[in-house]
Amino acid sequence: MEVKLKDFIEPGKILAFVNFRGSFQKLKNNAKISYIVDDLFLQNISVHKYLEKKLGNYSKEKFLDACRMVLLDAAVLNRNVSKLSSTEAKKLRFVEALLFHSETLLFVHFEKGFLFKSRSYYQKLFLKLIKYGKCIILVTDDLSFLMGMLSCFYFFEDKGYRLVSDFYDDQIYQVIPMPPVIEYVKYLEQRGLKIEHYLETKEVLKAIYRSVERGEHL
Amino acid sequence: MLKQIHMQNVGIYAKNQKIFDNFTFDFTEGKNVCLIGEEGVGKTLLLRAILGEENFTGDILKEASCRGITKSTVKIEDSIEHYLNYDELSSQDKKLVKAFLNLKSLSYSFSKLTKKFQLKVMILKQVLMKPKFFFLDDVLSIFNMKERKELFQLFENTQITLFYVTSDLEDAILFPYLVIMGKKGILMEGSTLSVLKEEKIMKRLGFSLPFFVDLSLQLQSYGLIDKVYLEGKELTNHLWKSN
Repeated sequence: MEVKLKDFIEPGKILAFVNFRGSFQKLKNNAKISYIVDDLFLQNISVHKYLEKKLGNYSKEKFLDACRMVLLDAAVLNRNVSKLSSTEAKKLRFVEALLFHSETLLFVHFEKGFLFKSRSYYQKLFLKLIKYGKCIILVTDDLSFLMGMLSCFYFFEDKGYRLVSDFYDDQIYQVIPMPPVIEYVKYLEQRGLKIEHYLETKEVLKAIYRSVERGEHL
Repeated sequence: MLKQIHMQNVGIYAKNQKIFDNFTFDFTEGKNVCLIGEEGVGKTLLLRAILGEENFTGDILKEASCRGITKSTVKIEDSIEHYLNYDELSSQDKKLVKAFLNLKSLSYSFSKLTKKFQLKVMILKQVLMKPKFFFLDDVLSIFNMKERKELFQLFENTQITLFYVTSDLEDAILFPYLVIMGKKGILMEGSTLSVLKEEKIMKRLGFSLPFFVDLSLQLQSYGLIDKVYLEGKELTNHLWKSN
């Protein structure tokens, strides 16, 4: 399935494409879109040469600022692009997008490989970037990553896509992994307990406490 | 005597810049291990070093054969049958292929398969070479729980010991032994449950605990349970048992 990105792009918004297996229709060259994806392992040049190739002359100071923003160690400048770790490569693409002043940033499975602390940081960073008018598009199958940021997402299937606002929608989990908190709440429902469709562990914890204290049965 | 892979002061450098060093660990037959670590600490590079795909300092002594899949992409145009050299397999191995892949036809083109299925076929190809040790790099998240159990069953049936690298602690609970890697070697190691119970250390390192471990620790602090559970059924039975 080929998607027309311009139908979705909206400055100041974050969108998510879940279960997306298609491609994006090529946009005109002046469309300021950057794709942040781990695809640098075949490029056998230094990071500095890579950035020069992509951006021409770039400001060292702005490079350092961008590295700080995306949590990339600026010492990578002298390293070979093909030897960067997956997360370093994605961060470098992120730096490239910021230096290029892209208006739309499309992240493909960006959150994979990052620890919780970094994921939380990037969630806040995305929310900050949209305040500056950027459009952020996240292609992901990890609904746990979206739960802290979005209340709805586009879910793609063979026949097209639909907007989903219920993270407990059973149909989507036929093809993507179910977040553990949702899996457990559904399990408790199967065992006969009535628990609200919470998305946070601490809310499930409180619900369990109330249920046990009330003397409820399975 | 059990076979091992001895890793002694293993280090990897890139253009004189240290990625990590001082990694010392014995990986023993029969004990599956999960390795986690911060981003960029060199987990994939360590795997590649063990598989002979990366230069390293220190020593890696392998007492038995190793196979594995790291993150390099593979471009294969063959059919599954051809890719696996199916005709040349023993009848026992042919049974294994049919059971694991559960396919109507082995003539399907590899390149037309879903990414998940391609990975299954790639793993199977390596397994058919009968290694003692198998190394996997952060691929389990693509499989659902049933598929992961099938994969683990495959390794168990073929008596292969698994060393799995990931940044997702939810995967770690599938393994009996957990190693946390840092830039200067191993930060922590031990039985998975004992490592995961070190909540403060794990959070300081930037990890979030697996859901049931996190929930169990909090339920313990409420006095509702007296131990940590790794899965939901036992936890649920305990919570509501006396009601």
